[in-house]
Amino acid sequence: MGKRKQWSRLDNAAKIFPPTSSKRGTKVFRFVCELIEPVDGVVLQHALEKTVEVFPLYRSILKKGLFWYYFEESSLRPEVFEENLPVCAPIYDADKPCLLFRVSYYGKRINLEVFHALADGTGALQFLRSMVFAYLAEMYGVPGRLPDYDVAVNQKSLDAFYKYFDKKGKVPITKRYRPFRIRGERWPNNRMSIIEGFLSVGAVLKKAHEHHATLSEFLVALLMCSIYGEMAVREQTRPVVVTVPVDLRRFFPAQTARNFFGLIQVTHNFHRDGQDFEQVLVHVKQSFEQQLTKEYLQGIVSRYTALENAPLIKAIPLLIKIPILRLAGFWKDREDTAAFSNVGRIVMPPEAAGYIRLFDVFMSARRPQLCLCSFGDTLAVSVSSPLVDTGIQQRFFHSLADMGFSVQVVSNLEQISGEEGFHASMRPLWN
Amino acid sequence: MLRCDHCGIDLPGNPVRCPLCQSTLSGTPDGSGNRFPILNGFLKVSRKLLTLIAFGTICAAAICVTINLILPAGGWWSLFVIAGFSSLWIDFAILIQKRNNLTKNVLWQAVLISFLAYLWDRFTGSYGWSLDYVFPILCTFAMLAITFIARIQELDIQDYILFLFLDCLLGIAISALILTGTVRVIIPSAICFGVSVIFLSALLLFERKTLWAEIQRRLHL
Repeated sequence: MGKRKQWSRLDNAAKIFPPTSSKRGTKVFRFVCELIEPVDGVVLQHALEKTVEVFPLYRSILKKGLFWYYFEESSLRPEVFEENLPVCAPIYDADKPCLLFRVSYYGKRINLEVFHALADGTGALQFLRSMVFAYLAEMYGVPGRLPDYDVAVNQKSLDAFYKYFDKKGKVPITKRYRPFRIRGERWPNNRMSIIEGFLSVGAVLKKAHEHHATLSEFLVALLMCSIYGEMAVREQTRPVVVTVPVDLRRFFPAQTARNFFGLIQVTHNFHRDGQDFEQVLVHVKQSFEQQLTKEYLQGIVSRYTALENAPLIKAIPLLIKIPILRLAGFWKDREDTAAFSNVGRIVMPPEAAGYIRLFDVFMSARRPQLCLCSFGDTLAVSVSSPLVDTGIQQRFFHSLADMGFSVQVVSNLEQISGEEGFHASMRPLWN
Repeated sequence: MLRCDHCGIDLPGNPVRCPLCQSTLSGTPDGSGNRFPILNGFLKVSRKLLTLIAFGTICAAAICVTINLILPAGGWWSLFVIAGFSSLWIDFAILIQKRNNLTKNVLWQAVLISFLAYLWDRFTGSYGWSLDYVFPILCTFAMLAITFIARIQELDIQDYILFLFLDCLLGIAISALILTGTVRVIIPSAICFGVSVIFLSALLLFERKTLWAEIQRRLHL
């Protein structure tokens, strides 16, 4: 017999992802690190192996118990490959034990794709930074180490939800409205369009501050206005609801490399609350201020965790939990118009930063989802969407360009539409 | 760098059109190449084959029903054809779905085939052959097969101990069928019972800790 396998429970937020992931919504997100020079696959493999040693949870596979899923240590070896899969392709397969992340490269880009059950953006970012640093150290002899590299292993694998679970936390019940839903034709074969825009952080921040808003508030308001521009008149009475995941580490000290986020929602009814950008922004700011308080977020943590820790719910067999969670996920999906997630500023030591052009992040989504992160002075704003129509993205980046920002845009649209010829050959025989 | 004058944005790489408005671009590419690869051959051809076989079975079933409707003299034999195809497909689906975990697959097959056999037996005269022969023989062979596959694939005992354990429990449960007289032909069931006891005692004596750890993992609340 080999070494006794370690196992661990899924954290609270992770529990929803395995049952609700499918080919359409894979619950996979991708971090991109674009370097100045092309990536060397062999060196990247070394860097990956070194990093996995430090993040033992990333060696896990997901298994089903009688009551819950759990992570089990595995001896599978992660392998770097040249990108040959669609962006955010499914990772978790209930019938095939496999690692819950993958690392690929293409040209100058290093891609880290992670199944959301394993980690959230901030958690995965710790992994990516370590890996990129190890790559640069071997490739270019970059000296030193990451300053926050020394977090103890058990801190990285901590279930922070459970740590901050407080039965007393009360969350005010917010009234929910049926939101406006963006409909339309989807890309065939569950492909997803990615449109990435690169701007100057300084310039956008300056503009946001002119409006007395933070970067997130400013961009959420802009996103909402872009969505409004695409709404049909008869739909304008419905509110636009944007879900915003909040990194709870900012409010509750934790260094976990797993999930620790809560969802807040920003709602604006253009019909009732006004159509001007300024009006929207005021509304967004209010929503953020109301919800981004420690008490409110404590309430969210408690609500999430209380449900999971109720003895009756615990004792339901997984076989029955799975359809219930799927249904819950299905309803949750219908509760918003779009999503906005800000991963924040990514910092690398100055010796390493010179080799990196930018960082970027996006996520698999059933409706348009905007993700942003910044590195140096580059703000990367990516919109992922399963819909063929890119009207919202167009309006969004147009407005930014109209405000006088210099915007650079890259996308995978030509790649996925280029696949069409290939799909044609897969049609049924009689066509 | 390429530029879309309509949108007022710059485009690194070498796109043909503006990704936002689809209009043509001005300027020259900056030579930095595309950020995403063009994918080819991602879809599996095996799916196409499966679709063809599925279509074939449906055709065959439809033809049988048609003939049966035209010539009703021989009774409703086409129902058996449909039931047979369904059984095959149910079993085949599980076989394919669990193909990546052979030891688990073996246990699934043993249980599923026994169950289907029981249904067939029950609706074709209840001669008892499913419980007399199919169930105990599959149960015994599953234990041997799991052990054999584990040796060949050099699996860690932790990867398959649960399936072997469950199979042993099934094998021991057969004793209940013998004692209640449900089973008329004793030999296969008796052998199955004996083999199960031997396997179970081996697990309990030599791999008690592993088994307990696995049970704790699988049953954690």
